Amino acid sequence: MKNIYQPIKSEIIKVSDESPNIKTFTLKPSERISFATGQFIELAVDGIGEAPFTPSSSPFETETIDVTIMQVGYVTEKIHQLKKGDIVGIRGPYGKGYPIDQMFNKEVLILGGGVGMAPLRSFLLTLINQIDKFRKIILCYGAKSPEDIIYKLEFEKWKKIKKLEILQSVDKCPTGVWKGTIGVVTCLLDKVKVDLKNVVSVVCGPPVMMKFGTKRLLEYGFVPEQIYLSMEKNMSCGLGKCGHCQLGPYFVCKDGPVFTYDKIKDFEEIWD
Amino acid sequence: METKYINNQNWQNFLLNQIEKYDIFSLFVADENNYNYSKLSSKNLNETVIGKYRAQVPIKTFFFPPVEKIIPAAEKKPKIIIGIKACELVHLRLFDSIFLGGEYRDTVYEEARKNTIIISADCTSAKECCFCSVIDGQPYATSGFDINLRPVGNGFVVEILSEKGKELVKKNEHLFQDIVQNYIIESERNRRSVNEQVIRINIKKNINFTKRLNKAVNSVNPEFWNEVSKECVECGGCRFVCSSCYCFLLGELPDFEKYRLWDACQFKGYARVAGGANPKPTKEKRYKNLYSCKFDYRYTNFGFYACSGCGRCIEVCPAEIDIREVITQISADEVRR
Ligand SMILES: Cc1cc2nc3c(=O)[nH]c(=O)nc-3n(C[C@H](O)[C@H](O)[C@H](O)COP(=O)(O)OP(=O)(O)OC[C@H]3O[C@@H](n4cnc5c(N)ncnc54)[C@H](O)[C@@H]3O)c2cc1C
Ligand code: SF4
Ligand code: SF4
Ligand code: FES
Repeated sequence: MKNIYQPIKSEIIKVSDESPNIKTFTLKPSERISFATGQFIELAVDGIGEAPFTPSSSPFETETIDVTIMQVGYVTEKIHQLKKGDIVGIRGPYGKGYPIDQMFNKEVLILGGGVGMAPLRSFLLTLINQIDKFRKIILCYGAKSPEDIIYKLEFEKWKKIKKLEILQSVDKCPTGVWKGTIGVVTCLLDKVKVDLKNVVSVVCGPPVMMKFGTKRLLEYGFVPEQIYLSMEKNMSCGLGKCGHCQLGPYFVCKDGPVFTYDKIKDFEEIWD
Repeated sequence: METKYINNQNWQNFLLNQIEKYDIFSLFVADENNYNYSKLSSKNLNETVIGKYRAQVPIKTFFFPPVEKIIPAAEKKPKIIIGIKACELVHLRLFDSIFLGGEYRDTVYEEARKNTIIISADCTSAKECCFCSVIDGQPYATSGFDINLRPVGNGFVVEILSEKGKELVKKNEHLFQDIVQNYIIESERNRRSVNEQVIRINIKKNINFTKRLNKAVNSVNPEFWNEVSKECVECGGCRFVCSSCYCFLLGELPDFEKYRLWDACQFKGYARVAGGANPKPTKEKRYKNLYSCKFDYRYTNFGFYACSGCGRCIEVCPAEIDIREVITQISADEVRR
């Protein structure tokens, strides 16, 4: 019987700096792990702790897994000190990812903020891989300042893809070097046009951004069923046992982390 | 279900026959009003208390210890636990649903569960804090055991439910006798009388709540939770002593070893996420969560409450918060509306 808490050892084969406090780690697991975009893994630093992260690479890439990690506390600080060649443990994938086939033949409006772009990169790469199946993809991405924008080189590539429209904003830019929109990411929604009858929105970012993003989408005319949210809750086990990630009767780790807004809108504290 | 009779002397012989093969735990007197599980040996065999009421310490400690190394998981020696009460079996039902249900089976828990034979026993008395009969239960087990004992005369009516139970009895067949109808009648009488005792205790305390607590819990005024949790000192005692509470944290050791330890929703750090945001920031919110979890969410998930009326949380609370009074007030509030 396989112990469900046993991690698979994985080697860090590349570390890329994305912004002053965000790095992408490319991991090569000793056993192949396949995931659906939007699912997450538990990553263990030896003797330190575990934390949940969503792979940011395409699920079609099966040899390696990218995780893009923002340094915010104890475990992530240790992760940021790791180097190429170091070994980490990973468990998973856990949870339910984005229901991609329910989005076929629709317009997809992606709304991302900060390190919330990590799961969205994986999602976007999944869509790009089969772009003919979607009407149109619009990506609205906001970061604190120009230097906080992650995946800069990839954005340049993505901008060339037909059927993919990209809008970016930064909250603040004191030096004036930024030529794009200044303001929180929701202001980008004023600039997009979608067919409300045939569109879904996928939102991932910090809680306040998700809150105001959802509010704005509802004002725009989206119905709750059209809004997919990636919920972040405290997690320990990742597989529906430890109780930490409860959201009403749901366990975010097992019933989520992706929920449509209608499923969770009535529970207290969803944005905290 | 097969039913037999065993007298006290044969029962002791039966246990002696198992001591080599199993670690056997049974209830013993802890202090004036309390009983606890201790390891059985040929020396203390005479002192076990099979009837009476539940132990002070919750049954979960056998299957889900306060701290446990789970990678690598320790090998589990076969156990027999004797004297488990009906309220504890309700707890195990919840644990099974959480740990063995869903997409993943918790193999550490499963191993402990598989290697344990459960010999439950009817209560022959009740504590002032017991309220099983008021909350969908009763002071005797009808399922969830391998063998159940109903104390009668100079022995027990033995109910044999599972394959594990049958096997154990079969190996010692000569010690068991055919059941006598009078013993069944006597044990049924005992069951009714203890059930009535529990109901009387609670009527005396004006405990009276609706059976539809799931809706009621989430509709009360937020002020209500301020009021009830005012004196709570957030010690977490009520959660740790509760056999229906299963929350835990994983901890990391060198060489990718892991342990797990109990956690409780009453602690401030319970729901805190990176960066400091906390969806359950205040004592009242956390306190309400425990009722929502027990009477609404787990009811929604599994069709039964995550509370069996064992009353341990009432006994342990330094703030003297009585869960029965809280749910009675919630029900009254619902009726008024
Ligand atoms: C499904 C999911 C996907 C995610 N994907 C990503 C991703 O792709 N990239 C990314 O950067 N982030 C992601 N996150 C967030 C990431 O998991 C957190 O940033 C990470 O857990 C932070 O860990 P830390 O130890 O560095 O932070 P800390 O702030 O030190 O601690 C985080 C956790 O440790 C516990 N803790 C810490 N201090 C205390 C205390 N004093 N008392 C009690 N408990 C405490 C808390 O439970 C807290 O939730 C994701 C989160 C979820 C749930
Ligand atoms: S909440 Fe209290 S009465 Fe209910 S099962 Fe837990 S300890 Fe027993
Ligand atoms: S035992 Fe009482 S004081 Fe302690 S956390 Fe529970 S309700 Fe609060
Ligand atoms: S993280 Fe343990 S139950 Fe969800």
